[in-house]
Amino acid sequence: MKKKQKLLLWLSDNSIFFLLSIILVLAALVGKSFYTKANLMLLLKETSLYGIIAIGITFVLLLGFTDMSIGPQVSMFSVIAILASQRFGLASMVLSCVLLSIISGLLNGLLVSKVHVVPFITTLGTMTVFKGIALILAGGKPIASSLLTVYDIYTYELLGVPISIVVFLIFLIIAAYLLYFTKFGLQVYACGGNLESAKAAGINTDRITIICYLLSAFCASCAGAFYASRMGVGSPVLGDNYTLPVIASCVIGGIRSTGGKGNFVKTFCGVLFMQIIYNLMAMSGFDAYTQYFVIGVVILGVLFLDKYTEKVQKINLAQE
Amino acid sequence: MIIQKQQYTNLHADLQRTVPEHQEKFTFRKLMRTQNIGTILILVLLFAACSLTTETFFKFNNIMNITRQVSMVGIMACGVTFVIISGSLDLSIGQIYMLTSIVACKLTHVNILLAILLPIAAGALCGLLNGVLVGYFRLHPLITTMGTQSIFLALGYALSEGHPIRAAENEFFRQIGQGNILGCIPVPSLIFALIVAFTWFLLKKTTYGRKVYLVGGNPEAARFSGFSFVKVTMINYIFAGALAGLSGIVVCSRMMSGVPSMGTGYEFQVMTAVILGGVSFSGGKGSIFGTLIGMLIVGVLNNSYIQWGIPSSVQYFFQGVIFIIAVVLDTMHERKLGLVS
Amino acid sequence: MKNNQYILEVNGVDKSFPGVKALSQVSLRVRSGEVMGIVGENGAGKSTLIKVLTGIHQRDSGSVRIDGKEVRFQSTQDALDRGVVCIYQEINIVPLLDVGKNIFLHNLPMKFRRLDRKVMYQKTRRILEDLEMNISERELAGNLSIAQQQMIEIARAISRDARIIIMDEPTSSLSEKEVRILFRVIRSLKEKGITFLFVSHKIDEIKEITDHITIFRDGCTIAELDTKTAQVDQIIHHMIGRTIENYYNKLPSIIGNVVLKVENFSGKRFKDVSFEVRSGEVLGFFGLVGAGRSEIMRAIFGVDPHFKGNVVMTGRQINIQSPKDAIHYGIGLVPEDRKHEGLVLNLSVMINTTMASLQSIQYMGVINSKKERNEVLQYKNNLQIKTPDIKQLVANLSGGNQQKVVVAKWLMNAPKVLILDEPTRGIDVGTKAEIYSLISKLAKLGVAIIIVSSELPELMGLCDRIMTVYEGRITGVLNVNETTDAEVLSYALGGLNVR
Repeated sequence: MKKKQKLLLWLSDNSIFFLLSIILVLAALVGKSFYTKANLMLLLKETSLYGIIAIGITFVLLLGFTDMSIGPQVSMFSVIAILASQRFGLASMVLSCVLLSIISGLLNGLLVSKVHVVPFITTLGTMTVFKGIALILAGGKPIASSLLTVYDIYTYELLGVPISIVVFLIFLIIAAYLLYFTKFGLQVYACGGNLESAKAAGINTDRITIICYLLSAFCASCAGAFYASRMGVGSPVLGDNYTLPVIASCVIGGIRSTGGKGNFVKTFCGVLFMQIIYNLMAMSGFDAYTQYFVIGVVILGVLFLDKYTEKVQKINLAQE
Repeated sequence: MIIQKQQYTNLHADLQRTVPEHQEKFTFRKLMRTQNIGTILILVLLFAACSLTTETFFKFNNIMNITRQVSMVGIMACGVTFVIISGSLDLSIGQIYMLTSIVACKLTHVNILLAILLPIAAGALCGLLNGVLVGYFRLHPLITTMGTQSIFLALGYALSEGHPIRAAENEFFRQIGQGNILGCIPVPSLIFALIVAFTWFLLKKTTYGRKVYLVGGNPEAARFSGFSFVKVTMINYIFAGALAGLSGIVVCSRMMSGVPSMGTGYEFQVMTAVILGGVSFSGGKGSIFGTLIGMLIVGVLNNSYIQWGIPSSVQYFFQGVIFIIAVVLDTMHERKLGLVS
Repeated sequence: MKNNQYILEVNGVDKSFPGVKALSQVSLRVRSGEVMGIVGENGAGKSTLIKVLTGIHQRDSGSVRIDGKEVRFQSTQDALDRGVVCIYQEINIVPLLDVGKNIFLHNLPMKFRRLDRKVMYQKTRRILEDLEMNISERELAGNLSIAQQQMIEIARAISRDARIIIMDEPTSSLSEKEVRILFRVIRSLKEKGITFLFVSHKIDEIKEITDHITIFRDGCTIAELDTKTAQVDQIIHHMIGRTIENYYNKLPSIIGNVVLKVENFSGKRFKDVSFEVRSGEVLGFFGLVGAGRSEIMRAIFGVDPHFKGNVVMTGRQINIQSPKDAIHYGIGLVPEDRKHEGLVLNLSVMINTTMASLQSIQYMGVINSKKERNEVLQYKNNLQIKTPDIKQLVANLSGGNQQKVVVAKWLMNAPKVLILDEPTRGIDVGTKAEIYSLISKLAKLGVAIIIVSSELPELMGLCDRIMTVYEGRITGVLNVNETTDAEVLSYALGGLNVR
């Protein structure tokens, strides 16, 4: 491989770090209010919630699959969390979500692996089912919790660090460990690289697929519970607009949409990048619709990047 | 030496082994393997179920109502069918629909003729954006059209300043969405029927339609045979956008207003109809007839929710379940036929 | 350590699918440490037998014994556990993982529940050394050549303690040199007691590497021959149930004026290519795999861009920017990879055949279905494309018949120049003969034909002239009547130094 090619490949693989640096500089230029303790804390808390969802879906993306239902899953679990808090008390909020996430994860996983339905279509369907469940459970509109202590989970701090950040970091470390050090992780990469070959090598691709979707559901459920605790309300439409930005965060962080490439450090940077953009937009007073527009443009930009990287890597693979 | 085509067709092989023409007999088995037989049965069953369980379903007015409801999304679905058969996707179609309806609304205050022509052009322009991004730049259709969806949504809100706007009073314009031909057939249904006939013909019987299938079935092989993925993709997206524009005019006329929150979820209905109709997302497979059946099933179902008094939250759930069942059945059917690896 | 015991005994195996009996009383016996060649036309049952032996399908009746013990595999994992591995034509490696991970994918070395990378790479290095491959164990598998990837698969089989390795058309994408290396590896593994089942269409290779040959026809094992005494005619006779006289069927044709002239053509993988081909002439392009022959043809046809050079068609200089232009000027290309570049597999034979000549069956944009059907039926009959109905999906046809559809597609356009790139790759002997016969007849009709092939005997039998290509340049233009195999080969290897 020629030196120039090697450099280009390295650049495209690690583009997120450059993007992140650029945006951090931009943030400083925009105003003094970005680099304040309050804003940074807010940023980190937002990043953590988003990030928890992103960790889950990263596993699915690494397989080369997609999960369009994560947004509605978050909504659904926020509703479940509130209902659980009303019926069984505070402690059950997170537990109920986690247990029920097994069902949603299994649904997606089984449909994709055993029935062999294309993931995009499957999750398009389950997306609507979950939204429907959320609406039915909530009676058609957001439900508020009657429990006054509902905010306690989200506002809890461990050694002065908000619990959401702690949980996010723990998840990140565990996920990274799973991916890099265990057999499971390697098998995920193998399936993402070439599903048929992985199968031929004796890997149980169905099991891996189901586990990844379970992980995705698990993370969505945790995020849902946190959101419920933060706002004290369970909203069936909460997560509708999350799916796209979360996936975009992962892709911009270097997870190739075709699978097999990427890692959690980059995902973290990708999520951070998107959150900084949201943060800056809010600070600059952009209204909701302008934000949609900007996010739309950012996503298109991410796509161009993904395409360009794909081209560079193809050229790289073609050279023997 | 000039090569005559006739000479080619008169080649004789030394090793003569004639293959007898397989007589295609009409058997029950063959009927079972016809495309779309499953969905036609479902439609018939559904229709029967609704008619038998309610008083109000099997009335002429209600049936006409269903066709009227279905026509707007149905017109869009016809256009999207082209896009999907050629191997792409369009998730932004619902927002194009919303955007063009707002454009139509605003134009009714200016000039009725413009209100009928320009929204179609606007839809085509949106389609052009999709076409350039997916066709020329070869970006991934799924995420790209989700991105443009955001952009069109934003444009729609910007144009309407965030709230519903009223259309100008005009009898002719009102007739488009609310009128009846011969006193009983709704104008939108007629338009829908015409579009179905036109797109069916285009897809099945013309060389362009053939190109759509070929580019969708195997873009590489299509390129080797002289077709252009770029051209076909772009034309399909523009066509789909234009048809969404037409739908936008109809809905604007129907409600005599433009509502910016309207477009959400329509792409899902279109996808459902299209999948029920047997269109494959990998490209190269499907038909307008199939999409029509799918659309009718969706329409009958939506109507049945009202007949049976099912609240909208439950409707969502059912829509999702039906979608999944349709997809599972379709996938299993394809696997059985050995069409899926 | 050769053992005369039979390691694999298949007796009276039947296997049926709805509508077709794929295997009928199939029997064969393979000794430990030998290479058993398996030949037969497409559809004769070879792949079905492999699928039964590797656990993908279950046999209906009969027995399969390994080391004398009866076995019945329910899954590929069962077969792998008993040491039966199959290496397919489509390489089964994960391109984004490195060599070490690919080899040990099924059996990752673990330490305290963590991946033991050190041990894995150590073991990999040792295996690579044994196979005399000088690639790094950390190299990405996707960066390797197909031959090297194949070696990785063999290495993986060895690491699994495979005892029977089945190889399905292993040399179809390999160059001469790589085939030598593969055969050397097979021989050294034979010494260690590993048994091979070698499935191939290339009779000369079968003759070279195998000890015994089992011939399949119509789902039965027709004969088992000792390789040393078997004759090529005999083998072919068993395969197709009749003898083929005059295999290449070369008919005399009148060679006319220059139809296509290419001058100083340069592109990404080739430079300064100049040649001309006349009507009625069959011009061959021979070279090693990767020499650039396909690239030249693709550039002429407009699929790939070219940097400079002229293409002149019957005296007129033409500008080809895309396949559409090439088709317009009367050039047709039967591509190297028919599944990906030549056919739309999920559409019918009819649609595939008329794909490149839609303008001839339409009027004002509307397709004339009756005309289309008639035209396609004529081609189907004349080329003897075996399919019950032209509405049948192309994916359901055998390789040879699929290739015929591609050829028919171009014939419908009545091209003046027809380029065929590896036209008989992966096709059974019977259909090969039919295609050779077709080529000769086309030449007789006055079509200028260019054939790109890696099989020298094929070119020597069919062509009037052969051009040799080496590293993107034309190294020789030889008249078939005045040259020998050795001379052509020497030019293809770069020059006159090899004799």
